[in-house]
Amino acid sequence: MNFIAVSFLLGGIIAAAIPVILHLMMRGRSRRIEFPALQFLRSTIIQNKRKYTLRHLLLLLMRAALILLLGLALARPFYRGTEETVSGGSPFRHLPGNTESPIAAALVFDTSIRMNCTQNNKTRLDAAKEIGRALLARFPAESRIAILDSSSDHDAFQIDLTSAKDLIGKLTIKARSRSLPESIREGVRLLNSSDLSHRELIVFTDRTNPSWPERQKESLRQAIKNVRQSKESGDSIAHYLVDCGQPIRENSSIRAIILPAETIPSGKRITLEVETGHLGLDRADTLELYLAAGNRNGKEAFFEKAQKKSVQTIEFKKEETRKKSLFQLADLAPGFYQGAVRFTGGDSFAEDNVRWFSLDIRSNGMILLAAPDPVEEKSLFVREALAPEEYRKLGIAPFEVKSIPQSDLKKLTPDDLKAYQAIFLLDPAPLDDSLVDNLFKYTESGGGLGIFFGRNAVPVNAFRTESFVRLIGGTLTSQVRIPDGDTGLKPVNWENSVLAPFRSLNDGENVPWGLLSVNRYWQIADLAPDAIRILDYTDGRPAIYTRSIGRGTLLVSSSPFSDLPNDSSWNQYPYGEASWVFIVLMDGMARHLLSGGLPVLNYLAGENAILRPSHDLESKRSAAPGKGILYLPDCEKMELTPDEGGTQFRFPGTAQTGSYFFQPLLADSFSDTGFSVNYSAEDFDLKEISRSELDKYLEGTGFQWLDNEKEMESARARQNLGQEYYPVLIVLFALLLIGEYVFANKFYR
Amino acid sequence: MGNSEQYLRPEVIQTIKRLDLKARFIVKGFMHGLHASPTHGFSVEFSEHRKYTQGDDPKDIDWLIYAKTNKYYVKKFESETNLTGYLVVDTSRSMGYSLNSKISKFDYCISLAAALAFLMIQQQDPVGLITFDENIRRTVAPKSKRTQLGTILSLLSNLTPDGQTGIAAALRQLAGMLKRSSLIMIFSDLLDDQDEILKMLSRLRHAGHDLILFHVLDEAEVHFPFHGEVELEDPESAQRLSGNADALKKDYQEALEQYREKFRAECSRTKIDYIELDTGIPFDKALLEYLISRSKKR
Repeated sequence: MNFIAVSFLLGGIIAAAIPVILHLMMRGRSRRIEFPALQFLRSTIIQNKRKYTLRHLLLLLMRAALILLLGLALARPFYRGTEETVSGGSPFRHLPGNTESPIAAALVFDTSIRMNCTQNNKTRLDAAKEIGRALLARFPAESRIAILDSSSDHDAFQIDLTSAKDLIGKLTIKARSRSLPESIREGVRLLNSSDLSHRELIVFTDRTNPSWPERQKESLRQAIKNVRQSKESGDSIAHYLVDCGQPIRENSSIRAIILPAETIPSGKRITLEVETGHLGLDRADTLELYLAAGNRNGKEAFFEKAQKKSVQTIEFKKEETRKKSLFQLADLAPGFYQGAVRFTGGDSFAEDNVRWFSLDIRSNGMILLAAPDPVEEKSLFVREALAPEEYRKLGIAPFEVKSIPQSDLKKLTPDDLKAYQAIFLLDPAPLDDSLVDNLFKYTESGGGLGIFFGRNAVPVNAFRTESFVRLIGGTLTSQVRIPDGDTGLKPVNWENSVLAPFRSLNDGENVPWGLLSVNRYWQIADLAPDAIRILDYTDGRPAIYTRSIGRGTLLVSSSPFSDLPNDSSWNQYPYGEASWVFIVLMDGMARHLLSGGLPVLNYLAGENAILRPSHDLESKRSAAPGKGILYLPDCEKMELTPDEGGTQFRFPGTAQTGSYFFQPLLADSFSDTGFSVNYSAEDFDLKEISRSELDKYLEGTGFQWLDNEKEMESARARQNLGQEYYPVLIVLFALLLIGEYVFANKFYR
Repeated sequence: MGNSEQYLRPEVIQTIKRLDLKARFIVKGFMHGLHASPTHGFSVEFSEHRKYTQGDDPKDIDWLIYAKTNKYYVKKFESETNLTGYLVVDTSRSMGYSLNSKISKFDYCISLAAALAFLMIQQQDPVGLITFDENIRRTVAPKSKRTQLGTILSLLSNLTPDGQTGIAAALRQLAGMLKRSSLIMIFSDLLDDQDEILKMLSRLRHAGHDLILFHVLDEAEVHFPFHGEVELEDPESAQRLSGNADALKKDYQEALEQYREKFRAECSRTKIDYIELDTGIPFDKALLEYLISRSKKR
């Protein structure tokens, strides 16, 4: 046990001796009194002498104990005290009971977009910062403070309190936010590295659901438990929660805009599905659709230039949380477009009242299918997947497809090849070197080449020539037979645009890749380092891969896409149980080849954006893209230079939401393009978890709620002092005092 | 009793040095109080008077009463009362005790005895005096003449409390002395063997005497107002006892109460008037008790 004011204890011990000394002194000093009626005392004194002596002693002990107890209580004993010194500080500051010992603290702020909610005329983050600064003011000097937020930009102790305070002031909403459990774990790690014995972790939260993901609950609990178990003295980090949230009574939000595609063939009617959400009473909101063509001045703010295309009124009923609205766009000429949907009214959370999108309207791509005889049959599945007959008849097929015998390929000149945006070789037979060279040049200059190997790739040596190996970036070795057909496909690179259409299906988890069974395929070895595997077979060998050749793109499949359903077919892609996967895969591959990759035009905040300026093979292929200017949503601009391949630009800083517009520095070197950035629907989920639910989430971690600074002080005092016995001792003192009074009165009555 | 009460307080009476005046003052004050109060159910003087009837000697008319009431009353003659009184006063050393020197038990008793003597003689009752400590020391034979008062008062005023207490022995002697039934008024602190005292009282009662027992204690002996560590010393035996006064108080008072209760019970049983007094109680109470007892005898 330690004491805050041990002098009181010493004084109490000395003072407790006073009643004893007085008793001893007074024993021989009785007053002599003449009293005739002794006969009434004689027997009493004789009979009760022992009783009187015991009573006296007991009262004496009680009185001495009272003084001692008072001294002990005033000495403020506690269970635990400070131990070591901090280098550079006076060791006397760390005598037991000193509450001014430096503290190591990690203040964890939630800086997700939800903290931008306005309440009482300030955002939740502002409120949290105010509380943080106020708490910081009460930390002892030389305390070590780390300020953590939803990024990992400053996960370290600050130099001093002033730096920490400044950093709090500079906290802003982060686009890409890690969850609070992740930030807390980082804070715990930092505190664990500190030598100071007093450590505190303070978390500022608005208790919204996305900040506390269920899947991270156990890892957080374990991280905190591991710290506790590693310390001999037990729990050495005090954990606090500061509630910065208030219930949102009313809010309307635009949760998502669902586009049919980001790159859409011209002439198609485009339907935008807008999902909205509402919290609160019955309300009518007006939803507006804006659109701006690509050829705008990037210096102007979006809404200054954009046209209002459509307006809808949405009637929300109380408790009706979701609604869907449809907007139509038609007759859009080929080009790049940026749009927005927004609510005209306002509420306490403005960020979710607008959502952005970008679209690329393209001319229909011309695709050449070179197939073995019989051409029509062998190209049937691919042709129908790319341009279904019904769509062709209606003139709305996404691609124009032409099928020729492979033997006619060598008749085509390089210029003839340029007429096509993409060429598919379906189950090719050996090609002569000149054709291989032509195809290489075609691809290098920007074309898209797809090769789907099948039974006709014999003799295999014909495909091991230097030119062919250079073309496909690998070597055909042998055929792999799977008689049971229990091998299917599995994605290995979800980021590739070929798989983009599948991403929306629960991150691809609902795609039955395993049902695309394969009976035979070519093993391709010695893949070039730049070859990107998109799909493998379930046995681990490459199934479909891609690589860039100059400005164009190559796509290779080691099993054909043209086999008809019979016993000797190498796979059942087009007609198996998951034939729809084949159709979507074909579409993705075609778009991948047509544009040098399907450009991603819509990003989530914080993601790295890649700009691929659209190149028309006729007019743009000859010019290198050169530098470009990217206009941010706030109309600030940045100069971007293309990457090594010269075909794309990278932009990692998508912190702002809105429309980003990209223009070439040199006019006409490439077409205008851009992208839109939004927060995800989950980021806008303002649904709160109650304090009791959060307590349950953090069960076993020792977190306690702090509702005001006074609670922080008393909690810290308890933390610093450990278990203090003053209240118990004072209660005992009071009880003993009452007992002494009652006993003395009874005794002396 | 109105204003008379304050004049009958012992500390007030004590300021009167002459015993005869004390006695007179007490009685007159008491009488005055009695007349002034409507609560009493009887009149003192009327208990000693009767209405004038044809044939009574006009010299016997009490003109004082006539002055007050415009009615004729004659005093009853001694032969009509047939009451011989003895004032039996304890003069042992313990009777001289007084805590704060206000008035000792002895002074209280002789003042009371003097007042009663005054009252009795005024009513033409024969009264005598006997003093004792461990034995009877002095006696004055009962007479009803006015000069008897002076004799009694003279003796009382010259007494000094001294000697050991021997109440039972004194009463035994008294019993042997008295031939006729008398009214025996005993003034003592009764700090002696209680059983022996009660035995002797009973014996006197059986002998046909009326007894009034004035149990006079000092205020300190009743309330035990001491604190802290004390050494108590008996002035007669010089015996000492030490202890904490605060601790002893409760037991002392219980023992005293038991002592008194036994006297009450036994005196009630044997029809002895037992009057508990302490030196703080005004004299009128004592006198009232006397008169009540007297009225029962009529």
